[in-house]
Amino acid sequence: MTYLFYFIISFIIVVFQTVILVNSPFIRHVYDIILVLIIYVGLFRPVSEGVAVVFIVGVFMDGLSGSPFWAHTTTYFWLLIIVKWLIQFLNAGSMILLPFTVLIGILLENSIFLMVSKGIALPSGLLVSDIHKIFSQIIWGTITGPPAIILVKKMHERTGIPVLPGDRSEKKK
Amino acid sequence: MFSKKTVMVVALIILIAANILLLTVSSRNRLPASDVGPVAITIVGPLQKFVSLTMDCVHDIWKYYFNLISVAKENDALKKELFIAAEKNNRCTEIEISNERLRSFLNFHKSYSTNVLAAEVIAKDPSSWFKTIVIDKGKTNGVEKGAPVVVPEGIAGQIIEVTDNYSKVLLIIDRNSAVDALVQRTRARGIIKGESTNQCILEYVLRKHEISVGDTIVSSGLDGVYPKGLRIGEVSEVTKRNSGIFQEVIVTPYVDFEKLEEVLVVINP
Repeated sequence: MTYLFYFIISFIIVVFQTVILVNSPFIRHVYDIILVLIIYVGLFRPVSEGVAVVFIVGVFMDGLSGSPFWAHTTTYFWLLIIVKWLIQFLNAGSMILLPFTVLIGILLENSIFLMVSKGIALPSGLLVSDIHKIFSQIIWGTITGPPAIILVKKMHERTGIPVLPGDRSEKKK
Repeated sequence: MFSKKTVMVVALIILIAANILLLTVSSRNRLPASDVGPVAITIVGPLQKFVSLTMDCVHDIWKYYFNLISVAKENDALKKELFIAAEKNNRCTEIEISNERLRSFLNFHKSYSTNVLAAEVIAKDPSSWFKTIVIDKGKTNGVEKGAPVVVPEGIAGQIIEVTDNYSKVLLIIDRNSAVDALVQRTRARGIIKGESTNQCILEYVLRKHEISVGDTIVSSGLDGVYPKGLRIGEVSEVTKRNSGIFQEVIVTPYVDFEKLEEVLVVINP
């Protein structure tokens, strides 16, 4: 049931960002919304589930994108590790942690993509348009990312999944 | 023998090194990961096509039913434009006929066949760093990997992945794209490289060549991918630095990649 949920969510996100968002005249540089799903599994789900989601969704995104293969998987993998490490010190349900993890995810993904597309000629090879692109993604991500993570969490809870192991506030209840 | 912390640090370093190695090898296309890509496109393609068609339908309703006032005015303007275009077309036909006659007279070979296949863009790359699109034609329609993709305005890109019913196209504005090109007026040769923005760079053009803003860039046909003489874009900036043997030429493509909806795949370039 859980994996079916992840499959449906990823499918919806992929179609949303490859067909609808890219054709929107108002949003030019939107962040990778799959990051929201990865942060969610990192914060609130067990490691085994997180690793499975990272590899399946990562390979799927690598197949669809024009990026070098494994670029997306790499991003998601390291983001999962960072999020898992962070929740050793911070409460997973903290409202400060959510925008912070989205910010880390966006910066990590853009750094990896820049490295694979431009080589190691950084930061000299960085264009003004590149900085604008990253800045725009950060703004969108920090505003829309946290509510999106909470939305995924609520939707997952509705499927009847038991107490979420990463969330300390849930455990206290 | 080793503390847990040391083991963790060593494991982390090994993991990072392995990851960098994997990405380096992968970006040079030396990994056999090409089988996974088509699977992802095959799974997601039908839904992308369905959503794309639905969006087109909604767009058409808006365009045709709610926008009729401006359409009437536009119609008048278009009729005038059509008249001019018809006149131009007539002149072009005349030129084509005389060109054909002269070509056969000189025993020239036709530079490329015009066997093209129309395809619809159903999805775009989810990442803004990479410029690829997915089209609704694949192996069953005769599309092959490496085939050039064009639109009436000029070159759009090249097929990089093919499934039975869908194909992935690398646009010329992607950083991984390169097209052998010529400046139409001066015949100066260079390589058009993408910047993942809406502009390209014409690289390796010698300083001695005179290039001006507004010059048209066409494909040279020497890369073995794109037929000769296809329009690419126009020069928008030329920079000649004090040192170096090459000049820096910025090219604005004729194709508006933001509004790409239909493309033509050249089946036999």
